[in-house]
Amino acid sequence: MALLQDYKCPNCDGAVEFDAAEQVIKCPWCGTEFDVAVFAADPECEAPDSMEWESASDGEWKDEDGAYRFVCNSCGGEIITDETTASTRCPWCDNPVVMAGRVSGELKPDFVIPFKLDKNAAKEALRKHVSSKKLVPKVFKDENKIEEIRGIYVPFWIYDTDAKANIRYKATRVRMWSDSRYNYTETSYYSVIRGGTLGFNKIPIDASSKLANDISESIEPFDFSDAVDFESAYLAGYLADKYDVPSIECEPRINDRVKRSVEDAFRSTAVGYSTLTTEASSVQLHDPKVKYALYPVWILNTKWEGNTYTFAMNGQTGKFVGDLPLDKGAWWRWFLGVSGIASAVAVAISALTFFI
Amino acid sequence: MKKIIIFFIVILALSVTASAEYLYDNEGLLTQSEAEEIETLLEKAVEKADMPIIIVTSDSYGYDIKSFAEECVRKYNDAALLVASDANDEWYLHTVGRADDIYDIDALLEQILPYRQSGDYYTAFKTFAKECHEGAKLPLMRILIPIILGLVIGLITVSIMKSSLKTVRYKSGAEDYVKSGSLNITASHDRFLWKNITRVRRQNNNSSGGRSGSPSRGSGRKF
Repeated sequence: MALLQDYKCPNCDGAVEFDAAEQVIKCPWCGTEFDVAVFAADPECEAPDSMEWESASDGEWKDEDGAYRFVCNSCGGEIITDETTASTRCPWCDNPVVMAGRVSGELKPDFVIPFKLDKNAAKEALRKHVSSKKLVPKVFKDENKIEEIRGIYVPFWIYDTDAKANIRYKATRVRMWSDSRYNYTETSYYSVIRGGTLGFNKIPIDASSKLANDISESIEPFDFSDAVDFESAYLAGYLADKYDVPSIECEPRINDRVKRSVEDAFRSTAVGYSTLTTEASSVQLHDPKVKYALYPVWILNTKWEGNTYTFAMNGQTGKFVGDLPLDKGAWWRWFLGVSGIASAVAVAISALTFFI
Repeated sequence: MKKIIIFFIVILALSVTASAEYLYDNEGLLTQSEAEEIETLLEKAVEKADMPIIIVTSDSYGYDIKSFAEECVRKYNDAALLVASDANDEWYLHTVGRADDIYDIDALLEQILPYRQSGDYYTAFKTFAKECHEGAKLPLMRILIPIILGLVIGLITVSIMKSSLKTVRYKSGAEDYVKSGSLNITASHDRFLWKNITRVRRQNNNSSGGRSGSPSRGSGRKF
């Protein structure tokens, strides 16, 4: 299989792209639409020929400085990527290309959730995200910055498991009454034990070190019912990365989340207590499964005063997040403005009630 | 009986000079023109303070000057009153309601009494009228507390606005991915361990009905 894959329109030979709105592959040149299945890999026919005369580089080679170079199938221009890029555009001819070797074989994702929201939706969401907040520096409302938002298929590990747990809570129940002389408080202590099971379906965790985990968790949840078996044709026109964090490194985080949810779910079955704190808990995972999937995320990185600010939108649900910096000047203007008006109104009320 | 007597004395004291509204010079301590001038000054003060500011001079006040003063302003919620009884060598300042907040009667007395001692009743009354005019402002607390309240409202507003800047947070659990209906509790024991009872003595706040009407204060000197 060729290492660099671009998808050509069977009709006009132009480079095609995945269209989020229509959920089809669309040729921007002749307008023809194709089902993704048209481009599905046919492993037997597309197995690489073994006719090379020399055991040579397969088109991907690594520089001393760590950059990976590909040659664009369309224009012959050089495409430089980093180690994990799985899909990008040729910087010379803008042709969408997929580094097929990075999403095949061992590295082939099991599932992909195709982009549902296109760039315009992402730009609109970013505009709304910023404009609804008054204390943001003006530079963040700059249209040119907004234009730079990119759709990326981010690699995720997805976990299935049934958790079996035994949890002991320490609980209290408080009763209060009084007679003519005293107020009484009676605190009763209980040991509450709950055992049982809770099943989890497709808990995702970001497998790319490039996207911070707090951001990828903030745009959750992803709805797995939209996921389809992976076809690299979905990547055409978007950026994509392959995973660079092994699933084993993500397990502690997944375990934390599972444990917390189990404790919370079991706690909800203990009713009538004033306080309920976990004293001991033991969780065993049964039938754990890990799969590899690409999830759609719109991302914009912006630098401001030496710090990088990342905005991300769930490309499936449209949930938009991104911490914004505080404009101190705006803070003071709003503080003084609101305080001034509130004080003036309060003084006026005070004076009116005093003199009338 | 005592009340009735005071009532009649007050009626008499406040009805001598029919033309006056705020100055009742029963003792005749002022000349006609002086009295007119003081009346004008009192009217100005009354207009600014929006409550009666009264001077009464009287050679008799019944049992004691305090009861007399209270009776004079009984019908007002807010009022400032100076009772001067030259015949009895006693002056008395009385404030009710809002006047009690605005005027510091001890300081006011300190300002007036030196003139009285030198027999300059005109300047003494003029000082009273002028000080009542000057002092007829919102008390400082009535301005400070609303400003502090405004600052707190401002601070809460910008804090809410600031907190909206942060949208990136770790998820605490994985409740979004729980298989629906998969919660299956197989063991459930609630065991009582122990209990303790604490008791606190109740506070007896048998308040005796409280005082009705406006707060009032008086201060006077006998010479």
